[in-house]
Amino acid sequence: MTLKLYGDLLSQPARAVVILCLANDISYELILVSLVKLEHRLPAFKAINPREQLPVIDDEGFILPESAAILKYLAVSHHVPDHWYPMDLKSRARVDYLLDWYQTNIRQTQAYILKKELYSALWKLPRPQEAEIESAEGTMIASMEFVEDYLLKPEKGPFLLGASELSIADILFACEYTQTQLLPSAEQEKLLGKKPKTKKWLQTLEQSLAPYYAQAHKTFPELIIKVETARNGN
Amino acid sequence: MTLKVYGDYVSQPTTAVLLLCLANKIDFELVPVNLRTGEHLGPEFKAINPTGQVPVIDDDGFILSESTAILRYLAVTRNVPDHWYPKDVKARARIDYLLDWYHTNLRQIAVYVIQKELGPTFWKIPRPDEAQLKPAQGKMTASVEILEEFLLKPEEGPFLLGAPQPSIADLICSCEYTLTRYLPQEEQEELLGRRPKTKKWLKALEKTLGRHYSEINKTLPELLKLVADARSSG
Repeated sequence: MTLKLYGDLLSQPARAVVILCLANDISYELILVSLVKLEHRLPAFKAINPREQLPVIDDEGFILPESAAILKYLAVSHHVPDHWYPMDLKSRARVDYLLDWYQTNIRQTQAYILKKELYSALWKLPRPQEAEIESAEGTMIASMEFVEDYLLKPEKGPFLLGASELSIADILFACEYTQTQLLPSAEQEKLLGKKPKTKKWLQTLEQSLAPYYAQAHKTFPELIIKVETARNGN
Repeated sequence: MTLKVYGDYVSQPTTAVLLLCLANKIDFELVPVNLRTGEHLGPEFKAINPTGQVPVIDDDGFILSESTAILRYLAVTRNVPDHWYPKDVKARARIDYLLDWYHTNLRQIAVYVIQKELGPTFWKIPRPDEAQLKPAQGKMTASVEILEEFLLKPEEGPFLLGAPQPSIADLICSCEYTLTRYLPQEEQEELLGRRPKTKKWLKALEKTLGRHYSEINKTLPELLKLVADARSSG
């Protein structure tokens, strides 16, 4: 039975799982659970995951949510090349560290973009309080600065923590960065403009994973138009 | 060289790491980093961990931060009994899921308790009013509710996800609940009073790890008194 992936390409973690599968020829069936239509709250999806979370995989009856856990599970159970989630205990610990740090740091990028742009553009919801948006922005900016200053070591290697080959942490992080394409250009420039190491790392990733990246981001052109229209229309 | 653990007993993730070490006779040297005096933000500690966060380990020169990455690393490198972090791919994935969920959900207990009690007591941050605490309180309550409703299956086993023996996920999650002891009695009752499965699970852990819990909580009476005194003096 083919792996089932319940998700929506609007979701950064879902895209990361798609990229891993495509890059490693892991057959999967993407079952769209539309976040915009709030399908994750419907009984049909709640029967699979009562917690309404995406992405979720169903691997022949084994249900697993939480993207980092999914990425690890797929890497190990499908025996993908070692660099994705190394067997060496110290190398693996470094990837675990990155994935843990991600949860409380760079993952907060989603909160900022969601509240500032997507609530009104996609769900026609009122804009949240400024204080809430500012708080999410603060965490996002601090996280991106930390990645630039401490987590990229191009003198050692092109990927996170100076690794010579990419890992599941690289793709999970990168999908948060690609979400910034939904922000106004001036803001994207402000966030990434003075971060040369980050820009180089993202470029290298996109080149290494070209067709898979494109596939995972195929809904972006339409999304960007939707968000820009809403932004200009208000 | 003995494992060094940089941490503070007031930090729950630190106590979870110490608990794993104590329960498995892993020799360690606790290098105190006094959070109350802001030692974690000083240049000396930031040279070890630029985020200024504890716990951090130094395993013969290998530096690792993020408590859940540390717990995984110690479990595998010290060959502890399998139940702490099982080798079986699916069993391990379930624990990875719990550890990820902890970061973005249960850790909200710390966010709330620090905002409400520890910040004002230890760092002289002005006491927030009820309205300011509402968001954090809501997230905390939601997480505690999820654990009670979905993550405990006493009909299968006494530990998280119905496991017959504790895992590192049980350690990190249960240590988080210790933070609720800083709250006024009525608030603790409200949070845990109608959550019988949670109370039973916490008791089961205390029974299994009795004297080790006493060890990691040895500074608790003094800290609880400081918080209660600060609260009554307004």
